Amino acid sequence: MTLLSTHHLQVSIANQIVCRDLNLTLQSGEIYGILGPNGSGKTTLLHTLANLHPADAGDIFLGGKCLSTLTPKHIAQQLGILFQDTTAVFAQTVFEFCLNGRHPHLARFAFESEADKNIAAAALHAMQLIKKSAQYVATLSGGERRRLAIATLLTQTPRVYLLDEPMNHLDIHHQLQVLQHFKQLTETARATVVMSLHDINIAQHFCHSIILLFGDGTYLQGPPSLVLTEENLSRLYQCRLTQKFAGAQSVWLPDYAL
Amino acid sequence: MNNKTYCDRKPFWVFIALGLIAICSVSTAIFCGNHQTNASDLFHALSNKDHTLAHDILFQLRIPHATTAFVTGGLLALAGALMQVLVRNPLADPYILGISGGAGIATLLCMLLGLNNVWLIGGSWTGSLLSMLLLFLLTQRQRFNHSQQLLLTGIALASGFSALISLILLTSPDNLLRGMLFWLVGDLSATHLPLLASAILLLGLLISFSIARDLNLLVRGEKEAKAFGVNTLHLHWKLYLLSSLFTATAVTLAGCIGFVGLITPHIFRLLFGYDHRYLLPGSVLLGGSLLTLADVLARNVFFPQTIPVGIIMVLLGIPVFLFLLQKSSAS
Repeated sequence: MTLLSTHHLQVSIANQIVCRDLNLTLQSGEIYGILGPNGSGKTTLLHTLANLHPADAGDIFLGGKCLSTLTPKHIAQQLGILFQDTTAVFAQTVFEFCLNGRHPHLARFAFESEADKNIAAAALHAMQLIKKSAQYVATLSGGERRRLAIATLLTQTPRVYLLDEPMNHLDIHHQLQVLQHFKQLTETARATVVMSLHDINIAQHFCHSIILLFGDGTYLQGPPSLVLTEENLSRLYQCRLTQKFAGAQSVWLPDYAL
Repeated sequence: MNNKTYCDRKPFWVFIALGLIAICSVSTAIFCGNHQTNASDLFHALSNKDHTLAHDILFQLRIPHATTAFVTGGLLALAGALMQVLVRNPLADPYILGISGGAGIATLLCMLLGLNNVWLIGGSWTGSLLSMLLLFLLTQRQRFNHSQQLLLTGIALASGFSALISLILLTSPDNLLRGMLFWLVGDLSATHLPLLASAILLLGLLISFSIARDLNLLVRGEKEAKAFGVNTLHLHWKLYLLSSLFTATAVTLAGCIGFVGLITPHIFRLLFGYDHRYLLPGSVLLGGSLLTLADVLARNVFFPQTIPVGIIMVLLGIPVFLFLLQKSSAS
């Protein structure tokens, strides 16, 4: 089933074209990876898909309806986004921060029910933060704050997850744990996950489909086996990358001795 | 799973305590004073319809005075709490952002023209709304660090307004000057109940409460809030309109009183957390109590000389604020 699709989408930021004539159909149960060099517009594209950045031309459809006709609340019930940074201006506890993610599902004057609190607790549990629930957000480390942002997104329970560099600040153990969790969500809840990444190996092993943003408005989309080639990646990052095989799995390595 | 342990702020007891503080402060303001009447006479006059001296003092002096102080404090605290979210900075309040200043200029001009009370309220709201609009227009183009820009612009506007106020005062006729000056530093000598202001406070609190959860998310940033389903455009307009209305109402009631709007939300946050569903009504109760108590001091410390309550509030507010600032930077 198609959850999110774009038709002839053109996106730009500060007079730089991010993509031209972008046509995507994002299916439920699939993980999509966006790769591109710094400043190629991965974040801008994700923000455009979340209706947080205006598109120059073209349409975005969420569940068959044009995104621009939906209210922010309606969009937030079905689509959630993980930002690159999280800020907490005023002191608040980890649990309160996470519980705020229920906002789009609550009526105007409603308070969070016991069921809502259980969803938040389960999300914190999944991100291994449940023991820190009563702590202030400011006392968390960078990686813990990243996991808190992910837990808040999980508490929002959308169907489409847009993740902007979800691996930032995470150690290898938590990277795998987060990836496994989202993989599970696509299998059990038939969710769609779109993530911008800098790690080609993660993209290769976890994504069903890859979108390469070259930074000049052109893009390539397809399954990892077709898109992730030496030629494409060298063009993308302007440096030589080669595929090595370690047992059954393959990894991409740059040429460290320049 | 027991979720109670994670979010146990005990809001029920907090509001019982704040309610008691509010009642105590208002009763203190009503029954304590250096006048020729004692508290028992006044208490007796409460139920007695005879027009004794105690009765007159109670109904024409003390009760209007105490309620005006409470409502003004509540309005300023509420305006401060809303503005701190609007500029996403804990340093904001109507006084610092120049909104009080804009309202002050408009009110002083109305006073110069000898206009009556209704005009003063209208003029004051126009003044605060215009300064709010000016602030908005000056910072609207700014895409990055928008909230920081908003705060800096507000501070710049506030100094400009205070210079203009001095200019108006210097060029005003002597017979109006004392009244203007007294009003400007915060003067609560009302002789009638602040019915309109109370209605604005209650209705405003209800509307503010309806956007309280949106405010919890707006402190994370505009895009972040929108991603959680907050209609940030509508929310910003509501915040601009509500906070300027509250400021203007407070300014017409009692002049430019600083620090209540700034410190009240801080005290509440330090003690009971940041959730705006509790913070907004809590700030009203706490701000009202603070200003009422400041007013009791203002009337009694140098009796028979009454000091404008604004001066007491700032003198008391500065040490409290500095203490809180030290405490929060230490933790």
